[in-house]
Amino acid sequence: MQDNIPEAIVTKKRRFSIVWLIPLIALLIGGWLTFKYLYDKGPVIEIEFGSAEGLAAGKTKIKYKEVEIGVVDEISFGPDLSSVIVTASLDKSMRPHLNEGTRVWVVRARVAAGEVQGLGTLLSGAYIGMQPGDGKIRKRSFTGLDKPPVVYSENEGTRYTLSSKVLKSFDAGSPVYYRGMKAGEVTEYKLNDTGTEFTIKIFIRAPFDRFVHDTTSFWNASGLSVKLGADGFEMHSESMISVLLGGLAFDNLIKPRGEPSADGTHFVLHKDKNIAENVEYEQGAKKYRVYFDGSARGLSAGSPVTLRGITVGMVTDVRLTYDLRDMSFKIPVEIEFEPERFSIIGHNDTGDSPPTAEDLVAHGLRAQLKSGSIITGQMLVDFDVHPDAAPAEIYYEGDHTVLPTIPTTIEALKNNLLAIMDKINKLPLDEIGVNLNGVLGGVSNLVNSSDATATLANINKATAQLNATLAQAESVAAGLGEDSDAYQDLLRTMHELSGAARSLRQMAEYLERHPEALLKGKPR
Amino acid sequence: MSEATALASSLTGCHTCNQVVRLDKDHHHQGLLCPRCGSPLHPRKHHSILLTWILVSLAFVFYIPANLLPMTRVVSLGQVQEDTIMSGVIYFIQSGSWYIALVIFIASVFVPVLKLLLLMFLLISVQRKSCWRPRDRTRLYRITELVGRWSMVDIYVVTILIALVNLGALADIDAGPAAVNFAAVVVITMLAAKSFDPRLIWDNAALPEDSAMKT
Amino acid sequence: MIICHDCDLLQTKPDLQHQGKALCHRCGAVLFRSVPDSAQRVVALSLAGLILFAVANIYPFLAFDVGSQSTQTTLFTGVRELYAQGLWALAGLVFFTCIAAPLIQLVLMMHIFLPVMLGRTSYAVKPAFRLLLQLREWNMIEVFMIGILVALVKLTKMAIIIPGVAMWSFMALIFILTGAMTSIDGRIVWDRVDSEK
Repeated sequence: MQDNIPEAIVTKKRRFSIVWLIPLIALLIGGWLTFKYLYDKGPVIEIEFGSAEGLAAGKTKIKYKEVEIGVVDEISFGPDLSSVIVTASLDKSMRPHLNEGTRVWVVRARVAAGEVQGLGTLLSGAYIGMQPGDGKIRKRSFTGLDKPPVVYSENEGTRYTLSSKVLKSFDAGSPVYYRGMKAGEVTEYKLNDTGTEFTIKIFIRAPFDRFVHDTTSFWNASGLSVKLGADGFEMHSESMISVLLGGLAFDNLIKPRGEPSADGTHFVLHKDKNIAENVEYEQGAKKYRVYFDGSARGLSAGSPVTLRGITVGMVTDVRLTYDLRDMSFKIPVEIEFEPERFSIIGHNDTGDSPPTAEDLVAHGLRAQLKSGSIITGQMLVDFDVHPDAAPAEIYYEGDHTVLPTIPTTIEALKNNLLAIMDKINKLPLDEIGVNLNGVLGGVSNLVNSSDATATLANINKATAQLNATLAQAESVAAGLGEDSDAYQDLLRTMHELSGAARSLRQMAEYLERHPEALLKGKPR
Repeated sequence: MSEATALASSLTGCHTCNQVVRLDKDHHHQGLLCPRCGSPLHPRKHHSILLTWILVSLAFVFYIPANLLPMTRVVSLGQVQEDTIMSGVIYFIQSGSWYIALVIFIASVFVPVLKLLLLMFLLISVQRKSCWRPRDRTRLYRITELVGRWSMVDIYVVTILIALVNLGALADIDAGPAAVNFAAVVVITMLAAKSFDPRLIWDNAALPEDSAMKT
Repeated sequence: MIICHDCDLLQTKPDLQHQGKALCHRCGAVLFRSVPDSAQRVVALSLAGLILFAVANIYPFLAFDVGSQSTQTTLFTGVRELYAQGLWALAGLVFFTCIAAPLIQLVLMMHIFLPVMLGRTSYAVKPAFRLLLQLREWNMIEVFMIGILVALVKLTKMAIIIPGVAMWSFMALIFILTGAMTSIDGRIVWDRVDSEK
């Protein structure tokens, strides 16, 4: 019986335990993560820069439209140590946009080539800006630009060219204003081959391009134009923005006719608005000559010509001549009289022709040298109708029409002197002195208080850091010319800074009140 | 009765491979190696009580600055805030995160003291040749061995904070001088627990308990 | 025969075949564990542990966002920052307890038990085993995990904190490593050492 029962077969096969599932799962997860990492890993690009100032491997971000699209992995030297090669990995969504048209630059706090930019990066560190291109040829290595390129907006608009003898207070990217509104920007400028003139390309956005006619004047609206002339102290700027940023402006100073100018129309860029205006008037200007007896001190080319106080033209030339015929010095003053500055009414009703200069002189029109400004001593040529004046007539010297004058009244000078004395007397010198003492007392209290001492210690610390930053800025700025426009990018910077400030403000405010919160968390 | 210590039978066990090794009776029991795995054999840990006492007192020396000096320095917007372990605990209680406060308090303040007091109690009881509840005292010893590592929590918290919060001028966290002291407390108490030999508890207790059981 | 580590009691060694642990008759200390397929389990778990360890160290551990600023941390960043602050002793301690100790443990377990599993002789098994046991209490990754949780509670109101894949791997590593260590049945190693004599 027992012999019939078969014996079970024993195999010595190794039994695999279920625990092997655990490393398998770990391997799958690890493998999947690695695959996902490699799949999500965007393209790696190389950028060549002149310097790696402010860049840090693993920290510096790459941004497009202020959105982070990558990070710098490595910074190394180029083959001949003359350049820095920055290796960066980008988001994979950027893969199709890397081509010959892609531009890369560093945004850092700096003062260079007439711009102050990237002050926001003082807090957040420098970053690399990138503008995806639409070129055909794919590229993975780029050469970093020295400064941010002007981003051509895809908005509608028209391009024009301007010519100017000097390049002053603007740069590629500077705004172009129309009556104080930003209407476009400078896209490019270059010196022509002979080196005598700059060609400036501008882009005016729609709808502002409708206001550009062939008669439109363009002028430099940069900064603050401060004029000390016979008109007194005159300050002019297109807008506070242009004070900071510089820029150009245009307007139709004479009534435009016809269609708006075509794309690519050429204009002359005037030095400032006054000149632009004068140039427009010059086209219809009438030239006259007047002679004044005595001193012509304070009268120069550019001095205004007024009629009852309203500017109607300007002095173009003041010369000294010696007349051999009567052995006397004469000062012929060439003036331009701009009839467009005043309009004549009534002649259509009567059917008479407009009055001629002869008619006006016959009615007593005389030129008189007047003091324009008591402060500057500038003189002006004033016209007025003096019915009591001795009869005089227009006469001609060659091409010049000479208008009659009357002598300068001494009373005017006297009055001016009296006015000055009066103003000086009225100055509340005693009161100022008392106030000043009070202020000084307050300041001394403030300075000596313990709060101030503590605050100053903090400020000193901050200042030391600031000094270091400024020293850096100075070293960069040292290379700037006198005509540089350091305000160029200040506005952009301010936007950036306020953006950075906004994003940090919440945290900063909280931290200021509860610095310990960083460690301990915010209480609920 | 078989419940005698191995040493009384001139035997000892290897801690690595559990081999039972016969001891030479006249030998000083020093510099012995396990014949199977080559690990050093300690029939009793050498100078266990003295060494443990030294380490315990050293741990107390480090414990004081660890609790009084700042653990972290938070520099934010030019202001410097220094935090000790207790000020952190108090902050958490005030802000309502009492469970975090409890974790930090237990791990950083309570555990090191508890551990040192337990070791001192064990040392004194062994020195007085006490035979009071040897099994429970062995349990207390195991607790001191087990619990010491958890004091490292605060060190790790500081490490992680330093790694994460590094915002340059805006905010920065530095480890304070207490961190090093605290780490020293943890390491020294761990070494103290290791240097204590729990078999000493049983050397005095074994016989009376055996006789008690016999009767 | 076996002798208790904690109370030096000489007792007979039970012949455990199934899963279980032998406790001291007198003081209750764990004398040894019996784990069926111990070698396979230890090798499998330490292999999983090594993979998780790699993931935990390569990928970002935590991402910390404040406004537009973002910091990513790997396990090693904290050690590097401590070292950079001049606290090299502290940096060394953290590095040893959270990175070096678990890694050495995993490698040693592979080194000891893979040859056992495959029926081969392993090299330097005696010092390796001794080191493995000594490292046990210096591996503090679970304490580190609690540290992370406390740090998260501290910072969570300040900033957005995103736990990375490394953190989940690290959590899993704690369990895997504990599992591997409690799967060690020393008898299979020493029986082999005895049989090779």
